[in-house]
Amino acid sequence: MQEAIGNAGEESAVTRKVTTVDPIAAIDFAEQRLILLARKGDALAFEQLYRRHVGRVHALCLRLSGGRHDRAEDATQETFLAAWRALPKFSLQSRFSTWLHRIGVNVVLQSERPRARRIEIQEDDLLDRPQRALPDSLPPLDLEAGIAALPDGARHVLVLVALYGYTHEETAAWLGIAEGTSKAQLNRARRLLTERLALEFP
Amino acid sequence: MNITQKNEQILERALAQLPHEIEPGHDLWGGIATQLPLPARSRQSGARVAMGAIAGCLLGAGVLSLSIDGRLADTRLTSLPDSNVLMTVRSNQLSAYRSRLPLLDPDTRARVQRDLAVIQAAEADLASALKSDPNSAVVSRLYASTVRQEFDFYDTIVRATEPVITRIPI
Repeated sequence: MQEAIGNAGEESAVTRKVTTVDPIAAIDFAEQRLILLARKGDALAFEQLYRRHVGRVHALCLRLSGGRHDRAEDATQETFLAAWRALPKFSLQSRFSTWLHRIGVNVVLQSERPRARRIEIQEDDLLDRPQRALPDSLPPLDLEAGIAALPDGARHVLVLVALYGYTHEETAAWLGIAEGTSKAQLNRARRLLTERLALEFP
Repeated sequence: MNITQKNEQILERALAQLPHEIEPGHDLWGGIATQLPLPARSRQSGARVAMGAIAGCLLGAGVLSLSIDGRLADTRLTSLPDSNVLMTVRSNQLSAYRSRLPLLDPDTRARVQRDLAVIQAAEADLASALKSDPNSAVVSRLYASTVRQEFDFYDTIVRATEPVITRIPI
């Protein structure tokens, strides 16, 4: 909602909406209350926390695990169980959603066992080809498929940094890699994804 | 802008549009709930039940704060269960209350402080009575109710002074 402000004699009136940032309003007291109750063993409060966050946690697990729904659901479930166990250690100064994400990353990484070879983007196949232009809009499903097909390391970093906005410092700490490696993996992921999508949409 | 830069822009834009939330195919709560190791509930004394009731009331209202000068609350909240955690929430709410109090006009502020003093005096009397008779259910309930009144009072002040959207010319 905008409103013109200015006197009649002025050449132009520039309007701008300014919203007062209220740090108090940013504190989610309802969520803190649920966390406190859950820490005391209140399963109903924990269920409400689950309902609030399951979509975000599941989306992360699904993307980190390369689009495999069964693995993502297992990881989501294990994330909430681990969160319940670790609730006494949770600091209310932290963001609960970030804390859950961190647990989710650990769960997915620990669950990644040597597994049957899956179809991944082959770098050698792509990087030597001349670069093609991407279409202006990319269908989300194709983008998700492209992300899922990235090599594990590149995919993990792309999901955490480019999708969820975590810093390289956070991402590197969570994944147990160097910050420089995180940056390199992000560049690799972007390059591979772009090449793949450009090939699919000539 | 070369192809690489344009591609990067398109990719960034497309990534930003992906949803951050994807619900699982079915409700996972059932599987989680059956595996939650619930802590055993211990029997509690009358006074502890009262403290728990106070904490429950305050948490239920989403309000934890303290008096203007903090003295009463400091002694009270340290005896509540899980006091470290409550202190953190209290600290947040206290910041809110303190930051809003100066927004009131002087007359209103004086009236607020007068009303608060009445509630705090009653609370102090009941706390003293509870100390003498920690197992009294009646005193416990009265005390819990008074503390809740106090915190509701703070909450009212915070809510009544919510900031509004303002517009300024540039």
